[in-house]
Amino acid sequence: MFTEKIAPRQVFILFFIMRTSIVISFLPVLTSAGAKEDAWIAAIIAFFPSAAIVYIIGRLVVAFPGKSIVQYSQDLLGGFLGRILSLFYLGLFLFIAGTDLRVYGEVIKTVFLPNTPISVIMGIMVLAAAMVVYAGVEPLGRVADIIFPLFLLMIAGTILFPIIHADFSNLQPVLAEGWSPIMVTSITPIAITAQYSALTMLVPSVNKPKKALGAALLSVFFASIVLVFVAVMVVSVMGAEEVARSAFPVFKMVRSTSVTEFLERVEALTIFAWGFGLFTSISVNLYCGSRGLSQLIGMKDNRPLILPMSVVWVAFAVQGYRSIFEVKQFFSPEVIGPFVLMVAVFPILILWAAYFFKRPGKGDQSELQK
Amino acid sequence: MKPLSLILNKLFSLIPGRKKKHNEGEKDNKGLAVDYRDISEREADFKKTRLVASLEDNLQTLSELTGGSFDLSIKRSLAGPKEVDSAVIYFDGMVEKVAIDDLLRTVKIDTFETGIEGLQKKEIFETVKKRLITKELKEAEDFEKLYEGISLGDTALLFDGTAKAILCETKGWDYRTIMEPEAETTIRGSRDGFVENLRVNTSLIRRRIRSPNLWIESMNIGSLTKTEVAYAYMKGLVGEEILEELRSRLERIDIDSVLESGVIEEFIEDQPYSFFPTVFRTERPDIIAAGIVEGRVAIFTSGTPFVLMVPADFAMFLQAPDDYNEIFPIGTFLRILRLGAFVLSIFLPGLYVSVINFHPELIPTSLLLTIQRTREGVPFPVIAEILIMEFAFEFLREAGLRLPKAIGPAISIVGALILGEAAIRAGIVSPGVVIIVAFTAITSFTAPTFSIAISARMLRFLMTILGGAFGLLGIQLGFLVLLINMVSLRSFGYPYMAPYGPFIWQDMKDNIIRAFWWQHDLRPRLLGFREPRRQRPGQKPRPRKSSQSPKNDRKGR
Repeated sequence: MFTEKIAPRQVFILFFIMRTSIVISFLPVLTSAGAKEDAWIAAIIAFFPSAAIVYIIGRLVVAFPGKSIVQYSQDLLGGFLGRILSLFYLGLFLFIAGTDLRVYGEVIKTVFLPNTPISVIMGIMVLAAAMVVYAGVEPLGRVADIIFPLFLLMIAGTILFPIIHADFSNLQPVLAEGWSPIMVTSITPIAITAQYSALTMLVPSVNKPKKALGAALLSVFFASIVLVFVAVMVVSVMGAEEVARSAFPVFKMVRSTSVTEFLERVEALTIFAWGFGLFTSISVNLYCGSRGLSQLIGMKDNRPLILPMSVVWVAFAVQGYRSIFEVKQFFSPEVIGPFVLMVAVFPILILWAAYFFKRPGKGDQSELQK
Repeated sequence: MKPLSLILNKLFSLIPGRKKKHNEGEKDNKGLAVDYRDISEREADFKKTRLVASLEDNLQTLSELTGGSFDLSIKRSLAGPKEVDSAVIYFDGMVEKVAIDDLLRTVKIDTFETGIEGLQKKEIFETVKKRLITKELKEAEDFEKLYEGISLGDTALLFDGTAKAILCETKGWDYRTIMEPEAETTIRGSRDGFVENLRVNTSLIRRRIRSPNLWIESMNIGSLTKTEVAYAYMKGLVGEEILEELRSRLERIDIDSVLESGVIEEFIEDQPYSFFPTVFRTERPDIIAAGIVEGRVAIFTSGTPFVLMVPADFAMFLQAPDDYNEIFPIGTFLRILRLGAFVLSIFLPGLYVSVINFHPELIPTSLLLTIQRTREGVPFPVIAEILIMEFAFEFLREAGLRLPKAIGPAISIVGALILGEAAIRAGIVSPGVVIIVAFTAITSFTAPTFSIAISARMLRFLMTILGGAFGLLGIQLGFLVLLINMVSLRSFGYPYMAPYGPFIWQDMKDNIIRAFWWQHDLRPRLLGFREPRRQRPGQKPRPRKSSQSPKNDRKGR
């Protein structure tokens, strides 16, 4: 049977776009949670634990070539427990995509289409995502290939155009309140790394699984660089206090930018870039979710699940949060930190433990020999 | 009761699918038996009929089978000293007259010089066959084969007493002279184009690629037209799977007539449901030759100057021979220009509608005021304006295409004056819309191949409606859906968006940019995988070192 494969390069692009777009939209929590002027330090610090999380999520799936988390968790823990554990992950896919979707819908509604119902905005995006998932993972990778340069250009425009309004003295004082608020703040970008749990479903369809892990780590690195840049720009353009108050500081920054008389409105770039980012995020998660569910219930093809699942996801995005403030609350370190620890990190640690216990006993099994 | 049954009979005869029963021996007004056999029966009878020994009988059968068609010419003569009855049969206008004269001379005169006294009926066939000096000789034993020969321009020789015919190749019919195709002109590049004659077309390729590995295979497609279809490729370079696939797809075609390569194109596509063409077609031999040496397969169809090429990718449709023939910076600039124009030709009206309707804040204030001022008093919403003007333009374009060339300019006067000027004066449409539509039209004319330009034409309407319904969000949805469709297309297993998605860095030097010729060391990766190296690397031209050329040394100082 013909199996679709994607390249490690495409994995890098997919995760880079996903992480960059979500990071840009949730920057306010960096400042409001206490880091204020030192948001950029928090962004730098966040890189190392994020990379560690990506590693522990990605390393295990590489050890089981061709098997997704739904399958290898059953190998490690036995049928029943494995299924329960993989349900956590399937739920996580739904949760991440739903939250992304809600945020995107809120932004488009406030910035662009105030009279359009939010469910229509989300429905349009999910429709596009469902189409690409229906086409398969190979077209998904190719779409990523093509939108990557566009995305880069748009992000560059978003970050670089406001530089004419930047006042770098806004970044002072450095470390006014010591390290602890910075540490707390950096929990959010670390927790958002839960996005990389999509690796557990994607890696089996990468043609070089070992390189996929490297690509994912690389994407964390580059996305962190973007995050640092964005943090510096936003704070130096608007000042820490104002950033903490606004719901979407990056948009506010871009909106207030007027490069010349004619080039006043660069936020269209940001919106398009974020549209691409959201599309990527939803389609990756929808692919992982539908693929995982089909494996869990023993279906051969994930296509029949796509449409029902995307309807459920829109419903979740609409009903999951009452308002944008609830979303913002969710992203504060004291909520999202424990959540991700419980839902994403804890299950994978259980699997690691099982892996270490099983390895000496069943050393002859081929999939366990690294 | 009689009139009623007559009426009923008449009514029943109108029902399709009921075969009329005919009376045996019905006569037409000339008193001949009316032949009510249908075409398939006739073809079957034709296949069954074999040649017999008697010449008279053969000629009688032939005239019955072909209905005595007036262009069938039969020259009777007596061959050899024993005056054996013989006939020379060919279709008028499909043969070379000189060759026919040669044939007649051989039959009439050469048979006297054999030296064999009393050449008998049976020997004369072989003797003539030996003495004929035409290019190719075949034998036919039944009428099917005989007819196949003469319908291709061969001449049949029949002798009394032999149940066989000699088929001599005397092909020679008129064809259009080779000239530059009107739809695909270049500033710098070869000026020849394909014609309707298949052999001339293949020769145009053969003249360009003088390698014994240029193989050309042919087959006949179409149960009635028996159109000759040939495919050319570089043996050893093209993927054998592609060839195998092409062969099986061509053999699968069961159709009565192939009058244009478009018929073949629709039968061999990978995915018919798309706005984009997945089979390349052109009238220019240089493009086909370039494709063949890259490892593609060209499909020639007799009777049309349009030659198909597979596998095709999206980038091919936006490339013109000028890119390669002009110097490198111009080639690159033109490519980027064309890509941008193609994107604009799809999205520009939609973008305008969405920005004016939903996001006026994106336009600088002074420009917005100008646009709004000119829109004052216009009774339609922007989307209606755009659609009206776009349709008017489409009508104009179609009208201009169908009109005789002499009154062609009239349509442009009508278009420019009435539609442009008067519509604005009357306040039906705003000048902004006219500018957008005109600009879009210009961008769509930059596409070097017509087939991709017409895809953009249709997509433009979809994008306009999406932009009018959902604003920029709709445009983004349209863009993504378009992209998803394009990346899932394949042409003979080759990904349609190839160097862009999947991204292939190595092929980029011939896609968005056009690198120097001496940098094209490698063939396209997915096509030329059998022999990746194309030329010796490191051929960058540089002047000889001064120590090696003492003559230049003096001048340099």
